[in-house]
Amino acid sequence: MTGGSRRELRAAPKSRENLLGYLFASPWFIGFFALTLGPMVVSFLFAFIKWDGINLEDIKWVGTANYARAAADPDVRKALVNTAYYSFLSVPLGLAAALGLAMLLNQQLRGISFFRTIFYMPSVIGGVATIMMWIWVFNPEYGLLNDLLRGIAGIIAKVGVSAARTWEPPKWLLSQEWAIPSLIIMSVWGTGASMLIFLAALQNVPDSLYEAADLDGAGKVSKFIHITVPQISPALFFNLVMGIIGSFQVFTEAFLMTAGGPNKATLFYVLYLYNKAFQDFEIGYASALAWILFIIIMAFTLLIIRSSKMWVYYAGE
Amino acid sequence: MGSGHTISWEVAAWLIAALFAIAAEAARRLEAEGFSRASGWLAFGFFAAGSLIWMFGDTYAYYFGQKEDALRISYWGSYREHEMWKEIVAEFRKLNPGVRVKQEYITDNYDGKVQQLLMSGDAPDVILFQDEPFPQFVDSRKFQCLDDYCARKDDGVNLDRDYWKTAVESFRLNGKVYGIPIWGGECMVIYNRTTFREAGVPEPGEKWTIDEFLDACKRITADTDGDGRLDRYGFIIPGWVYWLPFTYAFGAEYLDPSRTKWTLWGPEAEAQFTFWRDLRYKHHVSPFSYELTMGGDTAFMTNRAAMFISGPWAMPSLNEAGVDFDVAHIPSGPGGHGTRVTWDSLVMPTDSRKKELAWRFIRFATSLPAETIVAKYQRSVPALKAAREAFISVNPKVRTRRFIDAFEYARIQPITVNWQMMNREVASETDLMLDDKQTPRETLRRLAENIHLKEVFEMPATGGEGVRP
Amino acid sequence: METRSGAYYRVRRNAWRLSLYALAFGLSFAFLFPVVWAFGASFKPLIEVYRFPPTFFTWPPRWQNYPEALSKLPFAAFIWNTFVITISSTVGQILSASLVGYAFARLNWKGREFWFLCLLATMMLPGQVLLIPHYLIFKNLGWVNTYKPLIVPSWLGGGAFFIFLFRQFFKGIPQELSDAAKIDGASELRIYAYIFLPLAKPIVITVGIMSFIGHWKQFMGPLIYLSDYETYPVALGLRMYQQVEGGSFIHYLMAASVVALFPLLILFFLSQRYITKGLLLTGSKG
Repeated sequence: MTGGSRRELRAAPKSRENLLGYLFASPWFIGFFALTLGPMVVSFLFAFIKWDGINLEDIKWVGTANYARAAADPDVRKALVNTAYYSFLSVPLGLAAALGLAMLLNQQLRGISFFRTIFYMPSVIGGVATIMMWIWVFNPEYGLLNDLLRGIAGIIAKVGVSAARTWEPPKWLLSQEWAIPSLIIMSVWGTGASMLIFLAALQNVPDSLYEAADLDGAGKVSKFIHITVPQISPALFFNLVMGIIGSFQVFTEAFLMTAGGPNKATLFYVLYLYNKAFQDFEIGYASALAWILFIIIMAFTLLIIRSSKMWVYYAGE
Repeated sequence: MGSGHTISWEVAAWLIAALFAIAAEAARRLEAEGFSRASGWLAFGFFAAGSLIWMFGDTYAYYFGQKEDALRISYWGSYREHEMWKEIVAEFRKLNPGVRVKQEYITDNYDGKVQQLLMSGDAPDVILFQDEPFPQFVDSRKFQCLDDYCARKDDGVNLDRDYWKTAVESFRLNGKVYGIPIWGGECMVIYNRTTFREAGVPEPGEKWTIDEFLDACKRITADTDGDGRLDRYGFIIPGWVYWLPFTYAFGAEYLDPSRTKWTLWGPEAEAQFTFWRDLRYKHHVSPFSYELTMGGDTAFMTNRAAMFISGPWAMPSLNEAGVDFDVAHIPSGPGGHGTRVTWDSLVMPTDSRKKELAWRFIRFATSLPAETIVAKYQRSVPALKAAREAFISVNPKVRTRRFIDAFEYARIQPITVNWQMMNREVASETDLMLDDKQTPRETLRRLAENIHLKEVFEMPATGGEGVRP
Repeated sequence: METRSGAYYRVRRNAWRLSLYALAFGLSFAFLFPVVWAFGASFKPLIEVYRFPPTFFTWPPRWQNYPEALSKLPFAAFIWNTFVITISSTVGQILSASLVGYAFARLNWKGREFWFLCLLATMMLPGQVLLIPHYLIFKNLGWVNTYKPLIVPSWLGGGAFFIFLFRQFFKGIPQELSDAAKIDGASELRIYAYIFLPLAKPIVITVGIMSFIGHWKQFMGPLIYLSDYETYPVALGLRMYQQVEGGSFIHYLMAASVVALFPLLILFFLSQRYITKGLLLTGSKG
């Protein structure tokens, strides 16, 4: 705040709140301007250059050529379709799974702390063990998943559905059609963080609301729809926004497990961007790709925020 | 800015913070009504001042303090290679007692890290570097041309005389040398002796043809437990880069000698793609990828596959796991004999401040005493011809001599600045072919018409669909 | 409420609980899978890790994996480094994210909504393209090869994710609570520190755990900014056992991972009890 005379201060309590707001948020502002906005501007400028990222003297200005190239690149289109497909399935499924687990963990069961630790474990462990295990689970011939599916098919065949006898389970990560669904299943399994957030939200729903509903004779489903969902809607909003932002940038699983294959079926957008930046050393083109993704994610997030006024309930307002 | 400092700085900061927390708590207790304003601001002030000093102390040291005086060397690899470098550095320091050497062991994403270090002018003085991204980096003029150093009278080197030919060629671009080769190796047939014994198939001799190779594959492939499913295979189909030995054997090439023209076209090219496809679909001697649990080497280690293609870098794991294996030559075919060789070298960045010392280290690490250490670890073939005996004699159980013999027919890969892109595109198309989604001929045509390859190579005229290549 | 139908309700409740238990056990199996596998693999000779069909355990166990895996690298130093980085970052992340979250949720200041969008936007640009500018900044600050690039950003807001999380929580706290404190003459800082932060205990612990785990396993940052092997955190050090060329030593990798991840599991097991109890909003509890 600059040059506020004593009189102004007294006259406008608003400016004091302004100052406080900026003061409280100041750690973020420092970080934002120094470590985020600056680099973002740089990367924005990078989108107009051709550069291998090694020698600063080799930077060449190419104007909008990188964007024109992206528009014509069939792999960009393929990567966008793959990424959208992944996002629109994995986000809702992940949310449902996380909420379901959180509700289970919110029950008054003995030994619940034990289960809580176990359900969060995949998020803690991660890494190589998880990847190796999933490759094993998804193995079409010997994997656990297909063993299970064959067992189920066998039972159905016994009941008399002849189609089940000749049915072959999918080849998961190794088939073009099932590679993305496989990765979606994986992502649902690793929803520990969303689960924790839902759990914290569930525990903050006042018991008095449920007690009042009990007195009215409301059933479990009705309580869930009319009390739980509105009460945890801020957490739902949070997980939805984070899910969209995160899933559009899906990278690690495809990078480590499929390398974009088979035949580019799991070529996700950020994987393609990574290949361009760090394998082909095309920093300029990769930056342009990043900004295209930025605009897309921004559009979706704004859409959710706009709509949130209709469905998110804050007790504080 | 040494490592010790970095840790003690943080610890000191935490001790101070803890002291302040205790002081603040004491002040709070003293004044019953709570945390007094003054003591709160005082604690905050100290905290802020402390963090500023902590943060910008290093900045000050960076601009006004003493510069790093050690020779910095960077490399990648497993813990075994780290141990090998420790030995080489120890030997170097025996000869150069006053020199401090700092080993920068980068455990992942090596090329990216080197790129970053070069870009920011902060690169180590000696960098271990592999041939695949080499042209791209030389293109950026960040690697020192070593011709003058090699030509020196006192500590120069005669690369063409002392090192394997392909090793020198890999790091000589446009007639200039940018890296001194240290080690490498070719793709060979690595075979599991147990499976050969169990199947009653004689082990490969010094020479064999593709037909003999195929015959061995067929005789080994079997359903040993009689459950109707094949459980022992002759050969594991690798990624396309490892197909290069057979590509050469069929007389095909990806690029012309100038590496500007795409030459994977014509009957030879089709024959070599057909060979790979047939291994799976006609001869049934190679498993489908879904019959393997965790990749090909797993099946090999557990005696479910008899042969695969790899280089000396496959040996440390096999030795560690105690697999009874040996090395065989690449079979020859209608186009003759060939294999793919790949090399690593030591390079010096143009902005190193210790070029003399760096050269002294590079010379040592590529001389006989150091290359003997390299040989001992059996991860790669030393690039120095004189170290061949050391490499052969380390493990008498494995015919490592064949790696040396194979230098006669080894060729370097068709590496260009666009190598990684080409790698991805070919991998994608050959995957489709192995999954029976397209014929070898279609694969050739789709590659010749590939939009990304077209941008950088001169492509053959395909003449549209269905035309024989 | 126990009337004539008490017995019926008890049976129904027990059946419900039983099915919940069955569900929890079934899911536990699915979730425990990788852990059991990794644990089993850490006691196998290398060849058994690759055994087909895959097994969980082999007999006799190879106990030496542990001493061997831990002695081939300076494990104690790695753990200590990880600890220093993790604690320093986690504390900063909790403090700064809650403070900034408070500003976004409870203070009225000009441009708040705009800056909030900016905050969210920072997460939407793929981080890969920011690596080079970041590196140049830290290099010119002389921070390369120190822990500062890993710690300081945590104190500057602590990341959009956690700020957002605190904001969501603080927004849900009834306005009357801070109004009452204001009437008593409390400053905003005091309200934040003495009312909101204690109320946010479940979130503080949630953020603390996530931040701790994230930093404990952090890989890219240390890889980019550290080059002294002795200063590596454990996640970077473990890569020594897993290389594409030159061999994967999965049995060592798993043994070292089990030891490295053990503190995380203990921490989570101990702290999750607080997430359970999580202080409910005073006033609304009854």
